[in-house]
Amino acid sequence: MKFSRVTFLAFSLSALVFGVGSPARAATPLPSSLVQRADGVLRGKTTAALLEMHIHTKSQDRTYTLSYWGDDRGGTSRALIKILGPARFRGHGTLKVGGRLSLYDPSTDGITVLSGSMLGDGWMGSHFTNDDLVKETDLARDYHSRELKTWAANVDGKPVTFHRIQLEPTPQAPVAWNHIVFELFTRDDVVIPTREDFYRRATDAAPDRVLSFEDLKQMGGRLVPTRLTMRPANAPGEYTELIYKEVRFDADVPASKFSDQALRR
Amino acid sequence: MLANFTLLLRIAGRNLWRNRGRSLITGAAIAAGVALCIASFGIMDGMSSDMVRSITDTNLGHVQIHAPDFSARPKLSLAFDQARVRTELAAHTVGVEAVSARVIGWVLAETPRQSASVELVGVDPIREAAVTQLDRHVRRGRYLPSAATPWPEPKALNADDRALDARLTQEQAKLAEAEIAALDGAALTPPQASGHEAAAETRALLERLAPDPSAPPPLLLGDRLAKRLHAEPGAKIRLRAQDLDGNPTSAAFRVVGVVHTGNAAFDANRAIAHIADVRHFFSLGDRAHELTLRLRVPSEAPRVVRALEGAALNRGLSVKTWQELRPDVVSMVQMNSGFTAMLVTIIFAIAAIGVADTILMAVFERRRELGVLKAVGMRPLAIVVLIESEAVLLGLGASIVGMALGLGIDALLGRFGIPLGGLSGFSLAGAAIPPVLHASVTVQGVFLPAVAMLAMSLLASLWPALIAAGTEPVLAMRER
Repeated sequence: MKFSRVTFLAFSLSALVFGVGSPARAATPLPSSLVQRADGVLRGKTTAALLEMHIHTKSQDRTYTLSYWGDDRGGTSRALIKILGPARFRGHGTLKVGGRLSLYDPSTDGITVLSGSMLGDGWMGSHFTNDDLVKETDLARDYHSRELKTWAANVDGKPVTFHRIQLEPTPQAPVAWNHIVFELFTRDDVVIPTREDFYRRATDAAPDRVLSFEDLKQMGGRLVPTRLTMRPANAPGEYTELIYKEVRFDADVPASKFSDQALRR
Repeated sequence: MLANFTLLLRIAGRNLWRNRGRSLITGAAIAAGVALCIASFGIMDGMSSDMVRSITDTNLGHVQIHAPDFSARPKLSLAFDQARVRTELAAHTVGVEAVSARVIGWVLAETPRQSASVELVGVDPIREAAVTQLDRHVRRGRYLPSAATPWPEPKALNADDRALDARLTQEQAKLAEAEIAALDGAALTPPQASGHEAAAETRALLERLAPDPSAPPPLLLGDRLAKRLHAEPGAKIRLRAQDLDGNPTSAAFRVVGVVHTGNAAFDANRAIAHIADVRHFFSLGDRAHELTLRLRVPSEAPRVVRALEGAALNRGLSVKTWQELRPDVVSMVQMNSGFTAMLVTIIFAIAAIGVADTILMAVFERRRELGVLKAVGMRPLAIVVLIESEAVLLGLGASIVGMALGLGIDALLGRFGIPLGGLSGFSLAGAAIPPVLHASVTVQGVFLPAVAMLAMSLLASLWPALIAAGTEPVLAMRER
């Protein structure tokens, strides 16, 4: 009965490693649940929003007016982004259904389906990638979270608790980052993200790009950051801002919004 | 001393003549060896230079200039101002026959039946033909016309148009806002009527902002790519990509020709158009990604690179020879000559044994005679020289015959070649193995076997010569 003794040993060891830690941590909020809530701060079961995107690069400055429709209710998450202006880009659209991403170009009435590797490319000349915009990766699902630091501070004159959490991808996660350092704060029962630092390699001293969340406002019945700014490290001075003008959560967005017809309209 | 030497040569010649049959057979073996060596060098040199030409003359040229990271990770943004670099090239570099500037980007090509990822390369048709002879590889249809397609320059919008554009955007935003508010069926469905009007006005603005070319620009396709896309000359192909600023760009091109270079990566992935058309397509202005140089003498590439390096480094560019860009092909050529060297060594070894045998037999037959020579006072060294002279005479004569024979075989192989049959026309690491192997004659490939064979004859006869020199006169003369 040597085998059963070995099995017993393995069981007790794994209980020691995985089991015993959990109840102790339950007293304070788990980092992973904080990450999940912060990551989803601008997402409801469904999301409908009107946004502006400012792109500032060495060679150009441009502003898109966008409408965004998202639906996370079913098994596959779906999203549609349409560019409302200016003329050069009006009518261009991006549709995501599950892992499939389609781009629509009204000047040729053509739909291009992007393959997985193109998810990491910049979206319409911005510093956000296609993946950032349609959120194929889920921080809470694809990453292990580990609390690095927590401290008290004041935001808008009210006391809050800041958390700095290190995110490391799970072995199966289809992500490009070695790790992400996520900064967020909690106040009463809200969790607000403030900053995400994306690192390409384990040894990097500085992040590859930084996403910051600012301009807290009451919008769509929640307190949300309404200005997201992405700054790439390899192009100092360049950035892309995403500004929420209006957002509505959990309304009944019709399924027809996520069809090729809606992408063309 | 000299008289002594000529005397020795005369004796050596007479000795060879005395046993004509044996000398002839050994000579024939040496001549055949030399001829075979020359022929194998010819074939291998021919194959190597065909392989090298299949990459340098279809795409690579002899020297290329890029932004440093471009060869490792080609990116649209790694373009440089080529006009100034090219001016410097023309001013400073001897031995450069032609220069072709290229722009390179990956695009999605769509036909009604298929779509494929394609490497779109923009070239100046005349300059490119001077560097890579691309025009000679057209299999169907024709080569690119030398003039670019007229492509109206984009214009900025005037104040009225900008106001119109802002109004259209605002209207669209209003519509979206109404649609968001109307979710759950709480309010009336938003009006859709103005959508078509906005689309027509947007199209009018777009014609100024991003005009289409006056006609679909001409395009060449690699033959395997053409097959994949089911596109023959005359077909229209839509290309889509992101331009330099990351904006979506698309245009219809017209296939005018299909090329076959034998270079697999080229034939399967490349589409080639006029550089001006591709620059418009990618919004690249006057920039280029690659300057490809053809040299008058290909082997001068390292010298040209050194001459250019200073100026290029100042501009943050890297200059490389084709050998540096394609080390895999270089090592294949080296492997080729390695095999030849092995083959030639075996032929030499067999010939050397033949020579040693002949001379040794001659020495044994003439023991009495050698004994007499020693008895009348000939020194051992003179005997060694005598025997070696026989070997040299034999080797020299046979080598000359062998050279003539080898050159004849080379000439025949150069003319008619060895067809590879079923193996024909495949490529190794992107370098095409030609369907027919042709010999090419090089000075080294002809003289090296002859000289080496002569040296081998000398060496091989050293042992018999030493035996001869050591002959004991009394013992030798007593033998019957």
